[in-house]
Amino acid sequence: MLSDPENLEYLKLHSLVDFSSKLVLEIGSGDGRLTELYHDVAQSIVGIDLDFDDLQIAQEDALDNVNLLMANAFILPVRINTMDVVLFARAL
Amino acid sequence: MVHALTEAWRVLKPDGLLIDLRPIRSNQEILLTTDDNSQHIAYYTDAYRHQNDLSANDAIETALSENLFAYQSQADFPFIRHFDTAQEFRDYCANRYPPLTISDAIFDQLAPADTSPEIQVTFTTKNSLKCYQRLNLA
Repeated sequence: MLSDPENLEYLKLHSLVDFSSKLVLEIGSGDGRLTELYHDVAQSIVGIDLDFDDLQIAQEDALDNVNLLMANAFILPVRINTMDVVLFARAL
Repeated sequence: MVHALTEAWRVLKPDGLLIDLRPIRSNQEILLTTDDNSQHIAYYTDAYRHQNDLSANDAIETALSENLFAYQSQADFPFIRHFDTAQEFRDYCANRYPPLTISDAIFDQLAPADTSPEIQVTFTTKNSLKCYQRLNLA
């Protein structure tokens, strides 16, 4: 399977959002496919998901500025007023 | 879902950005494609996921009405998946959770992709990317 051959998701995401030096919480980070589209410019990313298998896949890539947690969106494991961006990745 | 948005509001800095990126699971298009042509086969609406989409829309509307966030911008774009064979597309549908319930009649129409290497199955889903700014009073 070939997905998004024209990289429209990357282009649209970066056309609307400036991730530069941002602290990002990605809800539904899954296997990290979306995280890879912007991790190189973000300062730090917390990715949360409920799927352990997907989190393991994402962990294999071990991106330096990405921390992965098993958590749900109803009790976010993040302090108040700390994130620049909260990204619901197919999770809302 | 509203509670999840309230949580997002809690953890965001003042003026932080909420991004809602998700596929629109109605009228997803199934096509047979070659390098030069495309042939529409069917539209597919995933009833279960489409209902989730509507609930998410309602949650966003509630969060906006409660002045947690303000709409900022959006972009819609097609998310395209190409499959070399109909069988590959069938496996993709079966492995989704919950599975995509596409009829055998539609798969029958995709059979040429199993016999002609130049023909692919293309599955196109409209994606919605919306940005909201966190408001400081709630």
